Amino acid sequence: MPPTRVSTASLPLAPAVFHILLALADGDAHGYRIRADVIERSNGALKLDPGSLYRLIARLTADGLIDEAPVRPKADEDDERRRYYRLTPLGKRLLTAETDRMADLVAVSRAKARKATRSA
Amino acid sequence: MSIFKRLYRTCIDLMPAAHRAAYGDEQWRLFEQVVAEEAPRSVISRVVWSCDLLARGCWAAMQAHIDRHQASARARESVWLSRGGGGSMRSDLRFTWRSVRSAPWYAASVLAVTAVTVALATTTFAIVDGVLFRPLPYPDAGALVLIEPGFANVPPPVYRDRAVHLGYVSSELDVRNWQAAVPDVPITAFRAQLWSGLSAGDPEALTGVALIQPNFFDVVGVAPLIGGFTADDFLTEAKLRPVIVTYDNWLALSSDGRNPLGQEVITDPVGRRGFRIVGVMPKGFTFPSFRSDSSFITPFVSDPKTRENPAARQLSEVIARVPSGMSSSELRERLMNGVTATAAAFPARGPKPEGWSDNGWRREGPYDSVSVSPLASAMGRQFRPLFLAVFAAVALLVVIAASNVASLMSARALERQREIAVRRTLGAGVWAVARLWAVEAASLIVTGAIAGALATPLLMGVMLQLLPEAIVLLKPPQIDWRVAGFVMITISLLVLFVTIAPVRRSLVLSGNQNRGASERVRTPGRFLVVGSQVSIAFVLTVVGACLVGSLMTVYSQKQPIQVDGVVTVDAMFQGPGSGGVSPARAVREQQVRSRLAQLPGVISVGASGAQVLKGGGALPEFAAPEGRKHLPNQDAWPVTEGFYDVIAPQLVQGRLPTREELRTAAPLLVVSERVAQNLWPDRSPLGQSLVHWPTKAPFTVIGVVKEVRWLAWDLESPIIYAPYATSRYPWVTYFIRTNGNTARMAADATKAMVEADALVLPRRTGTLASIFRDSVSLRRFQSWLFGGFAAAALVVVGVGILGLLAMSTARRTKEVGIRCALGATPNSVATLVVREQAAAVIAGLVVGGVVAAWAVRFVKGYLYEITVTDPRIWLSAVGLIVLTALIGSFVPAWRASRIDPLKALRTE
Repeated sequence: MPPTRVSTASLPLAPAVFHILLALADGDAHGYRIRADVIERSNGALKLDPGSLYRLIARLTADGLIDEAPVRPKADEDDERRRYYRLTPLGKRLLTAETDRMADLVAVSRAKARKATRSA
Repeated sequence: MSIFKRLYRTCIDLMPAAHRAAYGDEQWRLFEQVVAEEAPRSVISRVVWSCDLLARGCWAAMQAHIDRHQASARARESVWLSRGGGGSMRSDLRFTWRSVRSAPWYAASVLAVTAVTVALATTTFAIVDGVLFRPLPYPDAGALVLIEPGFANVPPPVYRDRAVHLGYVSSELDVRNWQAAVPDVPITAFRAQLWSGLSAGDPEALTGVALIQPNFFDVVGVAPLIGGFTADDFLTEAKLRPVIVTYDNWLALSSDGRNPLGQEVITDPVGRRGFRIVGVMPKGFTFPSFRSDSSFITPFVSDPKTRENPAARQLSEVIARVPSGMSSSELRERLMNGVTATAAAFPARGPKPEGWSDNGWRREGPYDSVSVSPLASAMGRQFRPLFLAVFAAVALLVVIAASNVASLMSARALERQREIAVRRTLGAGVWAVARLWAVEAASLIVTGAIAGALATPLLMGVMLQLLPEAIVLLKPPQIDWRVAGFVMITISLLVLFVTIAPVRRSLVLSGNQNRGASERVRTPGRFLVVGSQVSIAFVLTVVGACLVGSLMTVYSQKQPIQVDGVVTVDAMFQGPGSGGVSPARAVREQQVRSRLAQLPGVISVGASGAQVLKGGGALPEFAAPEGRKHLPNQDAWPVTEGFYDVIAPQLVQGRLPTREELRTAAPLLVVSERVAQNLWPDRSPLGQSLVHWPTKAPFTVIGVVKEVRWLAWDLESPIIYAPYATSRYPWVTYFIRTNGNTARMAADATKAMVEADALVLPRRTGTLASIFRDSVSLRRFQSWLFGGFAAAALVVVGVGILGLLAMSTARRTKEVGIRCALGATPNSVATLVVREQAAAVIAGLVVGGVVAAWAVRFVKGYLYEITVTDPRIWLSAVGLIVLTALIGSFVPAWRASRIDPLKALRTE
């Protein structure tokens, strides 16, 4: 069996994947909401086009990191054509792992920066 | 709909059908929302923005197709995993190949450890099998016993070239009285000895000849395959003795196409004495003697002069077939009646002479005890302790290797915990995981074993070169089905044993998926593995160092003579003057020596009537002065003119005889230092005289020389050098000093000797240096063997520590990265890795030291001028172990110290 390309579940996460998971960490969301959240959180640096967004949503769903939320908002707030997505437990663990990794990285960077400041 | 929207619709249509069905509508609605909210107002910006969105849409469609292909591949892999890691052996093997490729340190370590172990274990088993395990090739062999006479409470004498005392020989009267005491037990006796000149093409080779009594075949239960002896053959000694040869010998003799039956093997062309082949033993028959590997069986013809003499002890071994229901102790008690009967027939001896020890004097008298032991344990007993020790060393080596490979695989299980967890999640059962590890273990071990097996013939060749001639094996050392079976069993046990640890670890870890793959792992198991390996290797190293140290000590003993450029040729005179003190032989010897002196490249030639470095010469034929006793191993060497010129001994006192004095056999002696100190401790040996027993002539000592170890390189050899005319034996050794090629000189000398005298039988040629080396062949064999085991153990331990640490540090890459980021230097990281092994190594050394202190007692008897408490031995063994552990630790430590912190932190 030849090895396949790494799945979206491999650390470190691609920035777009990380931001999508992060967007869902606040609660269930549909595509438009996710995109808006990503753009806002990345200060517009990460503008997901619809094609890329749904391609990533499809991959994250296939990898078991997100799935369709069974509970929908109230009827007056809902558009029945929309689908809502949520984090799976695996997605949550992965998000935590990536966050820890980044925290380590920050710790190292800070230590290095302090060392550099001292030596200067 | 604008053209832009139509084009974007096409982009969505380009998506894979499944994706389009699932997300197409959502994507389209999002696209419309984005266009409505984000499209720039200005025309140019709007066109650029639209093109960008279209390009991204196309790119996403292409990526979605790639994703679909990858998802299919993953799905196939999942199905394969869910079937327990593969539906076929081929799949398992392919997965193993991927696994070992991703961990080359691990694979290389397992292969190296297995190859070294299998090569050494196979070679050793092929040799020790013939002594330790092979069942005796006789029907109902368990009923055969060896009967040995002896002296109650008297320790056996110690011989220089034997590991153990071979036992006392029996007289014909002994055997007859024993048979009379137990008429219901068939008893037979034989004399087994080594003869030279029986092997066609190699006059130097010694052949085992057994002289048997008529009932031998009945007692042993094996009859000749072809031919046999007649009753008359046991009554009169023919010039051409009838002989039955072993099957292998038969094949060798018939290799030229002739039927060996009726062939003659002439050992004395003048007297036309020798053997006539009258039969052949069945295939696989081994003569039941532990003294020599007898391939010629000939009748023992009783001599009427010695038949009734209890002191004429000529029969080396006595065998009986015990009837069922009779115990060994019962047989022994009944045999004592026979012992008493023989003792009664022993001639009166008078009082013990001055200078004799009590035990020595008893050994000269009648036997007073008898022992009965199973033949199976008696066969090969001379070297059984050695071979048992060798086999124990092999077993220890296999244990080290097994624990090593098991620990490596266990560490590998830690690395693969995520993969195994996925397999378990997807439904792989315990057996599927076990099979995966078993296939991996079997693949690596079998590959390593094949590499080891390929090296076996080479190692076997070296081992057989070192194997002393005196060792009697019950089968030729070769790779046969028994050896193959041993290898298969070893490999199977190895695979079984080494699979348990990773399977257990995999199953335990798969239930604990939160454990990070890069977390630090320090288990008591690893401490135990490293510690126990170090302790076993330490035991083997100490034992090896004791034996190798002894050999080195022997080799460092410089002989006080000229050894370089000296060629020796052993020969035997046949024909006129070959027996007793004979002027005729002296004349013939002189003729041969003259011929040798004429060879080109010869500087000088001398001769001695002694068998140099091969059992000595003519015994102490000079009577000791009143009140003195000769030293043990003392020898008398009849030497010719030229002898002192060739070997140039170091003179301590007096002078050496002149050539003229030697030529005329002037009654002058030269003695070695210890002879002088022993015989004349309080006065000068010069001018003292000794009486030559056979001729009663007095000889005067004129010189004292430094002692040369003529009997064996590792044996003090007190020698009295006398004129050649005193020689009573037909053998002679020529010493030729040459300034040319020694190998060519040996060949030329052999040819020239036969040209000078057709009745001289040259037997052994070689340089003096090489025969000195050969004289310690048993010691050399032991040293190489145990030194080899120690070296192999060190390699296995070193490789094991290296592999284990390499994997452990690879797993701790992230930890090392953090340490480096927090200011750890490469040196401190390397020190950390090495230091972590220190506790296990020290514990191993302590435990190994205690065991080694107990184990060295078994090699005490083989040591030469060093003791088992010699600090040099222990310090060098500790040094070797520490060095090995350091080397094993250094490479991974060095790699760890070079880890880039940033890269390390990204590593998972």
